[in-house]
Amino acid sequence: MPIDNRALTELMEQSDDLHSDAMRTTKAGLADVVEQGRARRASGVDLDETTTYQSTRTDLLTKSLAGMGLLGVGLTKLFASPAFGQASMDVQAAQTAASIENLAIAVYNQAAALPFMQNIPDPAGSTVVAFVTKTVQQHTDHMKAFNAAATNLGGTAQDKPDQVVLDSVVTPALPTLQGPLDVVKFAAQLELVAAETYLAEVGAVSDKALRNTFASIMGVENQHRAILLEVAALLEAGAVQLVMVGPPADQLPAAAGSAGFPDSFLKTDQARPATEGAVK
Amino acid sequence: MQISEAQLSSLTQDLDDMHRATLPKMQEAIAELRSDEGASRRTFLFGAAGLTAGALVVVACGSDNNASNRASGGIVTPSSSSSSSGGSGGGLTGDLAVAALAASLENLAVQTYQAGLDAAAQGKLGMVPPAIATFATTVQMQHKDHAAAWNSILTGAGKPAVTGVDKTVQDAVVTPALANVHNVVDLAKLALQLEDVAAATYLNGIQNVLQDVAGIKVSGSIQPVEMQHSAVLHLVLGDYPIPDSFAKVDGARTPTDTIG
Repeated sequence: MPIDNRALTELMEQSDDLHSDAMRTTKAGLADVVEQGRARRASGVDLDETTTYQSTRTDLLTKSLAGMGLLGVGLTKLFASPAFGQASMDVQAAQTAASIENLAIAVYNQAAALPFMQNIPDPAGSTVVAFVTKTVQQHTDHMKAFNAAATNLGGTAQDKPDQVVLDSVVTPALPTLQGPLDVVKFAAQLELVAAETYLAEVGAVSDKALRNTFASIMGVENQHRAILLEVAALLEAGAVQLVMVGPPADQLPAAAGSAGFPDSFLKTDQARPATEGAVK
Repeated sequence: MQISEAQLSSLTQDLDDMHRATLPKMQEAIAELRSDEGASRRTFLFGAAGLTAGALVVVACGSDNNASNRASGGIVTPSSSSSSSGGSGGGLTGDLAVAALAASLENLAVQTYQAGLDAAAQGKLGMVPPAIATFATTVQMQHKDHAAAWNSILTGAGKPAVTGVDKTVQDAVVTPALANVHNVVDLAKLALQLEDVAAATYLNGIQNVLQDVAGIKVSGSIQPVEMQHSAVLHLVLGDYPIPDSFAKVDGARTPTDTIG
């Protein structure tokens, strides 16, 4: 069935309207971040709430930096102090999240430019272009939200990608991507890493507004993954012609009915460390 | 291509087998969450000296009436503004009241998908594509897992498991809608409503209600899965599957809902 470009355009317009509404909500949420950050700096922190967070994240940072020979005794003590560690860890978690978003944006743009991604026949081709455009926009919104959280908590914005994942995962993988299926599976994996990282931070950060930001984004990354897994299932079934919004349900392979949500629970086994993408 | 009752039964059996194979992993996850609870000072607040269900609504909604309306999804019931006696979480308080609400929403989803599967098997929905049957059976099993997770927390705290459904949502949304479900598109639209309500309720729990990190983690591990269900339903229904950059709490239910 050929894609109805007019309908697709209308859908995109509707989606943009929804997006604008969501951004208004987000701006209100970001205002909350500012207020929460100010309140926290004014009144101190609830150490009971952050005990577990402190013991794990501060140790991680201290050992990591000490291991690299970057900390003297005095600085080690400073990093180990609850107030410093609490504020620092939240900022670093936000910066790491921004770095993951920057990485996702770069990967989507780079992957979309691959020759075989530009030769996908319609309706799949148009659908993929629309998905990439929208998804990059959403990751940009996420990056801005995390950077706003980082700066509002006293840190600086992270405008670089997660270098560890870039060097150890993305750079080696890009030359091995031989077709759309490889690209879709790879993107789905990155979305999983993002979703799991944010879930881990929902249970770890101490700043409530930052936690709320993580919580409002992790599910969206998991939705990106769901759609990518659905597309992968169709490609694997040789049904590229069904890659579209509103596919004819009676033509879908049975496996497409469950491909998008393989697990009952989102896990954290692929979450990235909170300090990995912090501004150096 | 239409699916027969025999094919549906076979498919359900296959998926049930797959589901059972994943149960040990789920139990491990719950055990891990429980151990987290044990390490948390907040565990003492988990259903002990916590707020009443009615008070939780006040905390969740504050003085923002608009937020209150958003959180109730526009469903107006006598219990929506009543005290804790309006809720039916068995007199539970604090995070345990949220766990009971969550279990009841999951039970409602399981029940609704079962009603759809029964109607499909009886030929009442016309042609049921295999992918739609797979979707319904898989999602139903995942909702069973979610209900089991919440009930595990309840029973772990010495409380009875919730076997009932969220009657407030059932009476206001599901029962009227089921009466008008004549095909899989109608069913998908109803399912989408329930998935969105569940996802919003979990997000609201994380952002505004839950106090214990264990409860936050359980909600956090389930909310993204409900959002996946929602995205796939949007896609099949012809809507852009991921309309928003940020998840919302619109339509979230509160512990004042009646469970029965």
